[in-house]
Amino acid sequence: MKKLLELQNVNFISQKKNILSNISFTLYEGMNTFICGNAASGKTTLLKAIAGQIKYKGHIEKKNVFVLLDENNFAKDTVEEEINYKELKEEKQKVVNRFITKTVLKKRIEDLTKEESILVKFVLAFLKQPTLLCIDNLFRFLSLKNIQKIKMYLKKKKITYVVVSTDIEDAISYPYLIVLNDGEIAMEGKTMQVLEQEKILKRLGIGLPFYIDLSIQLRLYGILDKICIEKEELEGALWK
Amino acid sequence: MEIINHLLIGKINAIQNIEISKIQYTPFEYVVEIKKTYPTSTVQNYILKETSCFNKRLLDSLKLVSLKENCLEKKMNQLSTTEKIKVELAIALILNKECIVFPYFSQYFMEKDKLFFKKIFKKLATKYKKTICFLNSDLSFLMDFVDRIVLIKKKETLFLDSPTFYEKELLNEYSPKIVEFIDYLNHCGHKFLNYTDSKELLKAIFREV
Repeated sequence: MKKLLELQNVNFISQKKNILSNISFTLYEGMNTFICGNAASGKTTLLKAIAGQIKYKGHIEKKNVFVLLDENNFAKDTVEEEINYKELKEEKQKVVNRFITKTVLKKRIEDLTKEESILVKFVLAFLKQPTLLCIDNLFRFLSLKNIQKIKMYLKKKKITYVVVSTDIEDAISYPYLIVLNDGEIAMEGKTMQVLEQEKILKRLGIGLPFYIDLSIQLRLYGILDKICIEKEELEGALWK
Repeated sequence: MEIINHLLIGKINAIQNIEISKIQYTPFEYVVEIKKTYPTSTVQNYILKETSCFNKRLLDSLKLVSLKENCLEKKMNQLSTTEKIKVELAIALILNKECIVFPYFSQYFMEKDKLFFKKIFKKLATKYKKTICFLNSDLSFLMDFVDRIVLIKKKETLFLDSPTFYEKELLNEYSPKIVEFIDYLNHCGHKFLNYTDSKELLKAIFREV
């Protein structure tokens, strides 16, 4: 597998406080990753370090990585100008049209709804054709329909993605999970293996996805012998 | 937007389609959210600018949201998400607003932080008689807490008093997982009550299986 991102001992100190401490991990092609952690655990700062927005200590090696942060950094007046739509080749215009309607395209940036402005950000990222896309908790502003549309596009274009989120229910749809705590990596690994460490996660203040939590409790009662992630699976396992 | 003016604690569905900044708030309300940009000034100066207040009320408000006095010297733009939310909440309390609005609240935080804020909300609602309005699409953490749900669906507003989380036609895809699961179990022919607490559900499954 091709290495897309490697962090080695990344440290960031602000106001004499360690915001990131010895962060090291490697992400490979196709390894969609979910990063979670409580507020102030360093999630956004980590993405800022990857984006090169902050001066960190350590080493970050990246190849064609694009970082999407929740920042209002549009430079032009309208969406059309921001995207430079008229100058785009037909193929790229199709990418734009897939996510943005003609009405939105004509809108002034200041008139965009939050969801529209996030979609514009995604389109700008897609136009750069990254191999790895890092997304800072932006799915929370999107409808389920748009999230699915974006995920389908990422899959089709074989863009690996890293999502920073607080919605632990969503973690099970990612093969790899990183848990941050006070600027350090507290846990890391295949998602199901990490989620099975119930006691550590709860101690860290991270909840578990509902069906996994229920499965673990039922296993403690001795009436279930496996972890289920969906309602059909859990019902089937209980009344087999 | 009229909903906000007579709101209530609740969950608003499809809130993503409502542009918060375009809602007209009355002087009785304060929106606790993280702003797009923050000044490089200190927390103290930021609060002073927003409230013109530096007295006991300020210190009491900071204490209520568990912010230490030394945080006043920190720079506003360097605070963590939790700290920013706490400062905004403290401002709402200093201004003594009757209604406090939290857009997208639960999406900022994970379990531990949600529980922390839930304690504060309960205190504000009971002891200080504040009306708290959550604009959210995640019902689960509000289940044991809300008095009323305002559901916005297909541009219509539905008011659900004494929330019935099992109004499946109404809440549908926004139902909490526990509701979804019990619904499914009953659909499969099992008989479960409408629990909202997973411990109760656990005991019921233990009895049934």
